[in-house]
Amino acid sequence: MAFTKKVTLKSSDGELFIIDRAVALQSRTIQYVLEDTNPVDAIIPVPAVDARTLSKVLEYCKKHLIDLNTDFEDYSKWDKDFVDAEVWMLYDLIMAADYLHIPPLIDLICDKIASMFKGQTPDKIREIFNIDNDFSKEEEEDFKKKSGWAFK
Amino acid sequence: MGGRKWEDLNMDCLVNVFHKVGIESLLLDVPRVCKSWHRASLDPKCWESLMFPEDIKCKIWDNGRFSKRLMMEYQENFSSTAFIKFVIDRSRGCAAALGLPGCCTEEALEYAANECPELKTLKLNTDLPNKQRKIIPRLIPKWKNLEVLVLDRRHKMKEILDQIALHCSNFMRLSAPGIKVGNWEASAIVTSLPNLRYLVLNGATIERKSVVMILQGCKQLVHLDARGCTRFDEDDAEILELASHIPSFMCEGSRRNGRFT
Repeated sequence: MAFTKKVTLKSSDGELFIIDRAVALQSRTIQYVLEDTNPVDAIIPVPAVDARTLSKVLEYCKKHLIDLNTDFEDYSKWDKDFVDAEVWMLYDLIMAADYLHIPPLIDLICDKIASMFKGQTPDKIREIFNIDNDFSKEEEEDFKKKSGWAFK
Repeated sequence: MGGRKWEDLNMDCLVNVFHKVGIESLLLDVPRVCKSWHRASLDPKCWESLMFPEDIKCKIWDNGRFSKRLMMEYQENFSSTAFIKFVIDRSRGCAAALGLPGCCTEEALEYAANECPELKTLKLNTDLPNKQRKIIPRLIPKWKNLEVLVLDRRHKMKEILDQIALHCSNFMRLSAPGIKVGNWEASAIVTSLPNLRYLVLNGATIERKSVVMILQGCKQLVHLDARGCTRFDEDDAEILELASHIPSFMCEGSRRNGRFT
């Protein structure tokens, strides 16, 4: 047989994850590695993702393997619980999903983040995501002045 | 949060988040969080979906939350036409979805037609004044990539569909909840859109023979929502037979004699 059924991933902190090839193929980054090299029994390093995050990402990939017995409703409930996480976890997840290139996971996390700051003031958004305000007082004032669209 | 800097999130991810937050947040809140978010919020991809909140009114400023905020910041100088043009400009020709507010002027509508050549989804507001409704059929040819149209019973459906048939070869979904469908409207749908794939008519007043006409004429339908309609029964044997090939056919709650039986 040309392909192995299992694939081994190695996280940035050295933990090994032995998973089904089909699960790994949901990551386009890993898909390209497998297509290019077809490393039989080889270990694929995932240097940008630590074990805690990788195991969470793989949990998502396992769930989202095409399963005809799971209907749309099941997924949306499961997905909602999946992203019900701390802000730092969401950050690690989106970085990992971006690195591994898993578009539906990126979309899911972006949906969650968008819902967290929709309707919030800039101050509140900075508080939730721990972002420094790097605007000067003058620049903040400029926001109002520059909005030429409001004037006929 | 050590080492996790949301302000440094890569541009693609930021844009992906920002295009989901809606015009109000994208215009008044997101750009004011930090410099990198401000830069990202100017990316045309954030502005692909221009669904204006319906509560922006021409003169009645005390109605909606968004209107209130715009008024608080821009006082009496606020012009809805200038505002709509400004938002459309942000998309730099990339807008894929557009839902204009009820206060949209003819000038703003024309502008949207000229500046949104990539438009796929058009939602026509219920509150659009008559004068603006009248020019819609004339503008349709500018939206050659249109795939989805949402309208209500006050729009000139036949004239609009005629233009879609002529100019929008990718059109696939018509959503017209609550409209009145008689012989005239049904034949407009069948004649203009024989290849329609999605049709949403929930809550419509639709004659039984019109349902039959649509089912016989639109053979490509994969989704027909005719729930809660009046003038035909949900258990009508002929209709159910004709619809049996449609993977997603819904007609629960439809009654010949209204909804109160």
